[in-house]
Amino acid sequence: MMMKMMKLKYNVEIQAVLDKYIAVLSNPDNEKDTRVLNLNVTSADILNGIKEGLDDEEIYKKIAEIYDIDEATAKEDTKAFIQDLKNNGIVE
Amino acid sequence: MKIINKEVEIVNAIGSQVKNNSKQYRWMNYTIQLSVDDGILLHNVLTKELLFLSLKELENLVMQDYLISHWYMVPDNFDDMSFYNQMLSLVSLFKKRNNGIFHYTIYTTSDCNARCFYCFEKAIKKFPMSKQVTKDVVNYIITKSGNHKVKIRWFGGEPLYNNESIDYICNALKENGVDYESTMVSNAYLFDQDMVHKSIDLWKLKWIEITLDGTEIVYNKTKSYIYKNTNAYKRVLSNITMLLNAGVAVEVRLNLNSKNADNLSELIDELSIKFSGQNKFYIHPRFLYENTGFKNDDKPEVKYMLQKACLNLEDKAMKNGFGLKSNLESRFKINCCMADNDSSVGILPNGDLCKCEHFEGKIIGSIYSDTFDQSVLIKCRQRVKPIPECATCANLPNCYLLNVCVADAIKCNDYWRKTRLNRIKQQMLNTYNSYLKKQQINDDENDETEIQC
Repeated sequence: MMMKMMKLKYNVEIQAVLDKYIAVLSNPDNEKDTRVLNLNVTSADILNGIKEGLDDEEIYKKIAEIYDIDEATAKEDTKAFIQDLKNNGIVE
Repeated sequence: MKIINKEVEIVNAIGSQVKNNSKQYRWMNYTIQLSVDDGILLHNVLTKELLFLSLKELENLVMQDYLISHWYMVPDNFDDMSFYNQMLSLVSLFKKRNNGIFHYTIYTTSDCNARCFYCFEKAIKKFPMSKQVTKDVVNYIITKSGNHKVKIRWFGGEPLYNNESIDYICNALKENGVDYESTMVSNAYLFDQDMVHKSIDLWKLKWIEITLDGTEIVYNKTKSYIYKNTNAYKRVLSNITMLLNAGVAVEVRLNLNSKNADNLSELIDELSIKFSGQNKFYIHPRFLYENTGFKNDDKPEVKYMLQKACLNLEDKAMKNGFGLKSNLESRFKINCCMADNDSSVGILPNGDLCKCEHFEGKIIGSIYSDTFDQSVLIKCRQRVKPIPECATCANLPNCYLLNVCVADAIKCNDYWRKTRLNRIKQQMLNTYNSYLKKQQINDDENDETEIQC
């Protein structure tokens, strides 16, 4: 299976506030383009994985490990979120 | 319910607090209440919101839902300080690094026409910024500021002692299409009518800080200007009047030591009469730099006495309508001052760069180099560590002190915290009264419009 490398189009910093994770996305080419995402803990882990340069397979494995679930479930959980990030121009 | 001041935008990122019906709620540490004639003011020091509620509204359950969702009330076991720290970390992510340098403190000279005994620059070699360095400063500003409006604070020595540099820099920025404005720290002795006009037209001077050390005799003796046979006090007061009439905001700094509190109180009385009705005139008592020039001012009991005296003078100034920070803070504080602001540098007369006027040990580079001393920058950014009392202090979100700052030598204590709280309450009242005045003006204008129709 082909592993998909993903590239973040924004610089990403994630801050935990109470039980939420707030991601601040800043566009290195346009200082006025800053976005904020409200994430849950799983989405934050996925986004951190992309930030670390993991491909999609590696991220599924990581999520499965962290949450002690099977990879198929992890894949289902993460695929939708990654697609969302792509649809919103955050990841390519 | 009336929203007098809105929440800061960052609260949108966090979202509302969701009520949990199984939990007991209490006021968050940063919620301050103040009774007014017809209701109650509620201020959230963390989110910066100010509300007016009638007493009936406060008892209303629907209102309580609002207070919970907007972080005025939190669960019993909530960790307020941790929440503040998380919000501070979040807001700091929006602070852009490498965004250009567009705040400049320019030391036009290290020389001065006064001989104040307490001057912290006494031992420094006296020389003006040369013509060449002045030209190079202009090039530096144009290169580094990007498209930002440039804000310059003229400093020294006495900056007017080399006003030629000010003229050159402002003319050059104007010719190069750079948008700018300026403020100044000066003894104001050298102003005259022509210079006041130039300060408006060319320097675009908005604000000036002028030190007055006491009433006439005390001031003239303390300042010991190099000019003989002149009443410097009268001249400076006259210049303050000219500046105010030209539209420049004037902040009078009062230098407090362990011996002059009474005299400064007398001075506030004099200034309050002389500048009555001037709405851009402010009085700001401050401790003298470091040890105030008297050895015994270092003792804890003396520092405490100084603190008390300073706060009394601040209160007096505020009651007379000349308090510097009359209204509530409306922004989330993420840095202290120029020392920890990445878009700010000081340029010394020789072209060296510093982070603060107390620049000993804080030289970070030069206008002739693109690199900075990162170790100094990192040191300047370090905050004072929290003390146990910070955990329950209502003022914590407004409190941002740096380790390097000599002006923070007075440590926090119970008296200080109580007076800070009183200060916030006064600011709540001032902010509310300003709101009511604006409402009244709008109502009057609407009435006039209706009549005209």
